[in-house]
Amino acid sequence: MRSDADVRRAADTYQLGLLRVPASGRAGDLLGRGTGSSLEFQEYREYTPGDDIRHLDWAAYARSDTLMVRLYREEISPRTEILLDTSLSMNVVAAKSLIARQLAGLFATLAGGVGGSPVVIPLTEQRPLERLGLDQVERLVEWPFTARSTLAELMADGSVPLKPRSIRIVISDFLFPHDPETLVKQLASSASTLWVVQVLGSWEADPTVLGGRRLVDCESAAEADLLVNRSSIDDYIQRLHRLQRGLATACRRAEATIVTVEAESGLMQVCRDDLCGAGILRVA
Amino acid sequence: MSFANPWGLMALAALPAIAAIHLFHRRYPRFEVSGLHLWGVAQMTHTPGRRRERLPITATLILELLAALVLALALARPQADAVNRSVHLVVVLDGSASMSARRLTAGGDLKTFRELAIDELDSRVRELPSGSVVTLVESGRRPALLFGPRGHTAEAIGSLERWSPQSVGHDAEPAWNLADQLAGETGQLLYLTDTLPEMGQFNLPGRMEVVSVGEPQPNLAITAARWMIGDGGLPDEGSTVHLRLVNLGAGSATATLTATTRDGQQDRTVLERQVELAAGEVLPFEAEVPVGIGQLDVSLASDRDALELDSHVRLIEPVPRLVRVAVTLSQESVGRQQVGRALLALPGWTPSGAADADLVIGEASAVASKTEPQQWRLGIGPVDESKAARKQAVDLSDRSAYVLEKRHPLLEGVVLGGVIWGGVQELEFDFTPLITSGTRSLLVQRLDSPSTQFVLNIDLARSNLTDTPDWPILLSNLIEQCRDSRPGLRRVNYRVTEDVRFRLDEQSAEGEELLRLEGGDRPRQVARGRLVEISGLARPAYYTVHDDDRQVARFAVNFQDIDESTLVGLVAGERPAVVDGDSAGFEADSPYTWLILLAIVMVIGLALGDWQVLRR
Repeated sequence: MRSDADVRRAADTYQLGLLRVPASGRAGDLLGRGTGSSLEFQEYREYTPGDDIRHLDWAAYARSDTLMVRLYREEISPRTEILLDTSLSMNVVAAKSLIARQLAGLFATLAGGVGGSPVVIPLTEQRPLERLGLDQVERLVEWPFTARSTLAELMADGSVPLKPRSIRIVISDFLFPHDPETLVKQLASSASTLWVVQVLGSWEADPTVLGGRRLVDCESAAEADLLVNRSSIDDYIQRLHRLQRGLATACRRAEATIVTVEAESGLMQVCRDDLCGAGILRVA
Repeated sequence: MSFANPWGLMALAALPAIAAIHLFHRRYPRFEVSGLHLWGVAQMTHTPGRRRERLPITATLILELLAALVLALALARPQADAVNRSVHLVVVLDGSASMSARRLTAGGDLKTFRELAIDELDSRVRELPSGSVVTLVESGRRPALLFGPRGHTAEAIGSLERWSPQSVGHDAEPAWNLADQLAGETGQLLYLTDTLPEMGQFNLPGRMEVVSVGEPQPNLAITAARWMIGDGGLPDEGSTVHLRLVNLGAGSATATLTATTRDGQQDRTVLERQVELAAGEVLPFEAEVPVGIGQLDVSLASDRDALELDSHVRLIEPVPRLVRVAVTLSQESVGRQQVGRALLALPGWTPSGAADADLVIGEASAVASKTEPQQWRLGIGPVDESKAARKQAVDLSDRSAYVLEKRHPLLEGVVLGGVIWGGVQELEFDFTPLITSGTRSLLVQRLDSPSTQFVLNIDLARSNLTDTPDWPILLSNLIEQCRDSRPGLRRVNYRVTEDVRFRLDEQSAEGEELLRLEGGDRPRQVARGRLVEISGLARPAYYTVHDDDRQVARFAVNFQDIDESTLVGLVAGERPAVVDGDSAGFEADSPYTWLILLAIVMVIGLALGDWQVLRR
């Protein structure tokens, strides 16, 4: 996906938003939570054997006759885990899987660009789940969106191998039966940052009247005859908004960020309007 | 609750059909969604293979099922219990004259049995459930439909306003059978009469209820009436009215007998007498009345007379119809004397010349030469007066076997017992034998003449026929037959139901238009012919027969039936139906048509609603 024109253009235009909490990881461009070898001074402390003598503040020793060591904020390269929902529901319209692929590629590219070690984890039926490094992100172009297991099910049975103190980005439509509080809590667990991107098709976000339809759930294959009229659409919108409010509330409690994007808007518009607006991206 | 048209419930089969269509027919196109649970509908899980699905309960399904249900109910035409009890009441009203009798024994209540029967019918009709219908049949010699069939109850009583039972004694069974047929399987049968028919004696339908409103009543009646012009039928001999007065009550009665006639525009009393009649007494009454008064209305009035109908007779003065008879036998012949002697004892004829005679009695040898078509002739033998023929003639002994054509009116009452028939000759012409003995024909009717000619193949000088009672009977029959062949009424006063016959003259008989009979209830038409027959006259009245504007006959018909006049045997009571009819009743259409219309409107509304649901 890094070769995707929109992804390249977006990667050139945007960078990941500022992390609120220093993350752990190898030395890099991003600030870690502890002291490190960066140039950003953090504080002094007395020397203890084993400290790097390069950080002794000789001037302070002269002034106070005490060996003081300069402590600098640790600069780390962030561990970024991008959970990509590849279930059938994400492919209900082509635009939906496309934007999901693009977003995963963009986040991986941006994270890799700052020295992080991005990993894209497509959520499939395969166990253990495959982890795609930056060099494998290109495989997302042909990645099949055929999984029937939902994110909630995978999180519940612990199938998703999550690393602690990582930046965790979840790309899904969340249109499966779940408890938002529980799911978000599981996703945010031990993560230094959690970004949740809900991808919806435009008809899913704002359905139009279709008349009588046999609705088929693309994942569970459940069916229901329904008159898709104004009344039933209003009911659907109410339920969708209730779901989104639940996710938002859960994310707020987990200090996570959630944003809903419409697949048909295109990557650039999504980045500009939605992701930048939510602080997930910022202009480079 | 029942259904007038249970077959309409077959439409309920549409309900499972609609459900099946909704169940098996994917009427909606498939549409894949990501979160079906968000649509808040019952879900159907499908896996490969055929499996049962749950019927989706949708608004359109409900509306379509409702429409089918309403349509089925509309077709089946449900009825409430009240409707189910609607009945077809078929009532046979006794049309006999006794129903017109008044209840003299009921104190101040002088209602007739007819009125009591109507009251009873009225109460029965009022008890009928709404939607019921009524048919009224009057018994009589011919059953008549008075109201209906299946007429509205509100109009039933009003239809009897002009009902006047005047029939003579008759068998009510044809009326019962007609009522039984009209009632069908579900109707109720009621017979309103004035006496209870004896069970087993009549074929009363088992499901017919009988209500008798009669009570024993005293009655005076004129059971016979005759107006005669003289003994010989001649006007100058005066006229006499003969009546038979009967007291049919249990006590004696005093009555006033009055006879009136029309004198211009007014009635003139010709006769007025007080008569005393003991219980059960039959009083022959005879009184002379003036000749030429035309008609008489005779009535017998008494406070012990419950039935007025049989106490009044109308009589028309008979017109003498004398037969003109010419006897052309030779003065010296034995036959002339014998014929003349017999004619003197017979009434209703007058001597005439041969040219103007209606009946000519002469020698048999001269009969064939006469050809006047209207003239009757009797030829008396010998047929051949030659000596040789007379010599060859055969004499039959008094023990000879005579074969008579009994059906011929000429021989009515003729027995020929002990008759010696002499001078029988061979006949040389075509004839129809009326009296024969072996191969010999004794009395014949000639066939070779346009007129009516009889030949008596006899030599009265060698026979004792003229000395037997058969001789005047034979001549009397001949005169009567000749009289009957003349135009005009033989009688002018009749009893009801008697057949009236009369002959028209040639001019009237050849017309093409029907004759018109006036009198009684209504005018009617009568077939025209030489012999006019009028039968079934049930109403006492004066009748006239008209050929266009010309009156061709006038006669009177009177009620004279002693059995019907006897009211002492009337019995009040009720006899319930022996067999219960089908009480299911029937459906009355009109009162519930609006229900069907409402159902149709509902179906249309539901169909539009279904369309609106699918359209949204």
